[in-house]
Amino acid sequence: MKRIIFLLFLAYEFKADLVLEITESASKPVKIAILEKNSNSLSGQEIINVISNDLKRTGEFKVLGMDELLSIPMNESEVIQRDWLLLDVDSIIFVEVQNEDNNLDIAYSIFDISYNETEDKRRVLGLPDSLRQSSHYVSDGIYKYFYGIEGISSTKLMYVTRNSDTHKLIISDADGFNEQVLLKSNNSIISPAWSTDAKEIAYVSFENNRAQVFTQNLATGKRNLVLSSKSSVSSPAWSPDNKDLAFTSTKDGNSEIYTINLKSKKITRLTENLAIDTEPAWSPDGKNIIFTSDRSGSPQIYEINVRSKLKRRLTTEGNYNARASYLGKNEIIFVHRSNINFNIAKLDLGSRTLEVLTSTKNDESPCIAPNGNVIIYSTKDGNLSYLAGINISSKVSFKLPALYGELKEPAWSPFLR
Amino acid sequence: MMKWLTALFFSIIVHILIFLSYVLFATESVEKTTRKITNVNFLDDELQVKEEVRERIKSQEKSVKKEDPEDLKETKNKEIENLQEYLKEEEMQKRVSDNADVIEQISYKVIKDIEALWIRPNSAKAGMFADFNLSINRLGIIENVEMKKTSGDRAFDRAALNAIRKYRQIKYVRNLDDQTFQAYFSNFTLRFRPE
Repeated sequence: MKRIIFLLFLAYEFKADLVLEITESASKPVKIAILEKNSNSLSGQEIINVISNDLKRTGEFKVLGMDELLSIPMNESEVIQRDWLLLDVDSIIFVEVQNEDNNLDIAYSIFDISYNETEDKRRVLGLPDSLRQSSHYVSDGIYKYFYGIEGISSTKLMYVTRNSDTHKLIISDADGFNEQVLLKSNNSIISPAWSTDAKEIAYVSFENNRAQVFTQNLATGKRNLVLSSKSSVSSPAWSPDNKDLAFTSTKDGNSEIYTINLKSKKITRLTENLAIDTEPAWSPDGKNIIFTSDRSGSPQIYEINVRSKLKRRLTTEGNYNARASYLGKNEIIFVHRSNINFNIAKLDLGSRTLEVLTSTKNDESPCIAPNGNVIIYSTKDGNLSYLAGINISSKVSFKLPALYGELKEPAWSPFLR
Repeated sequence: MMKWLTALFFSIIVHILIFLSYVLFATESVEKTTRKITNVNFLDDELQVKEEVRERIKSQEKSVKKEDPEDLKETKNKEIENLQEYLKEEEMQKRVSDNADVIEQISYKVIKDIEALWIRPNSAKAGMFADFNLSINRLGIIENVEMKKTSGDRAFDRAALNAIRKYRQIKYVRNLDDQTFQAYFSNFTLRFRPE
């Protein structure tokens, strides 16, 4: 909607206060170029590559290649504004690798073309062998400068892979690189989940031929057996204060939602129903849990208050809605069947508006990036399952490299800084 | 004989019926005519108006007769002054309304142009807005941009300011007359308010 407001209209003096209101924005990306300052080093090129790929993957940046540039300034003083205005470039990012005590620090500055001056100057302190991670921090700094919310390039992903009979629990960078195997087993590993402080993880392992919930400290590698049951146990979810885990168990006959206090080991039963209740996820304030239940005859999303145990049904559209998680306070995302396809959908709890976000066919296990703007999920193309993602604001979708026969249950880490 | 009497009787009855029906219809049409004629409000009004006009003319004639020639001159001058003022005002209003269309057209174009340049940050939330005061010269070149109200979000303010900076010149104001330009576009407010 365009609106023109004439606030004050004084006919006598022919004077008016004109207020023009801008309500819609361009759907085009921010156009930038990334250059190394005063040098042309190998490490500089590597950094530029990582940052370029991070920013391109968001769909919210257009990063110009060297062959597209009219001039290549070595530093801010060599920038010929006219050249860059012709290319309609917003900013030039100058990066500089600085070797401090064998740690590679990255200094970067954002040179704004329309202002013709440097607008932001920062430095990322490097750690040994962490050039990629430092570059991801630079990407996040640039993202925040332009889009106002935290970038997620420096966060981690956790997922489960399976090649023949080998199951692996893996943590990688958000771009799929730098994989580290946390657990290798001949039996299934399911439902990995991050604690909200990113210090610990929880998962279900069948390594002892029955479902057991473990927590594992990421710094020390120490594992703790939290729950062991002959019956089925799945979907551990950390409460926002990391004191409790919500989980699904069939210990009382059929699948119900429980919470366990990690200190006292006290188990509280939340649901009591003949139907299947599963896949719990906490609300950001820790007061409610959403879960999937087929009590109405088809899988639908319900919300339960942890204290009062009052329940309400959240999804009504379609005959398959499952695996939900909160997106902020007022929205949830989940797997939704539309026609014959399983897609990731978003539901606004206030307006009840349902939006299908993905266009792939067999989507499952959606998880949300800590900035709330990217969703990653596993999907299938023939026999190959891989991780795909979608940026909510730019609607750009992307794929992560598929290296395994089966890759599923991604879990996105919280911010690591 | 009986036959003739019966025929006569029926004939009389038929004639009476014809007479009655004629009387009935005739009365109806008379009433209708009466209604038409008695619809006197309008006629009365017209008469009244005419009479009022006549009376006014008479009284004016009387008052003119009573007034001095000097007073008459003054009144006439006043009337002329009022008329001139009225005409001036009318002309002004016409120009304002003519200009309103042009102003609206230019405003619409400016909004469209800036919307194409504004890359809204993800931190933008409903209800958030930032106001900028723009000073432009006669060629439409934006000479000064001043933030009147911050949105409270750095990225939001920066993105809005960047869109204005990129715009640089409002070419559409070149053909405006000086008065309208001064009144509306030499100094105006741009509000960035995402929906």
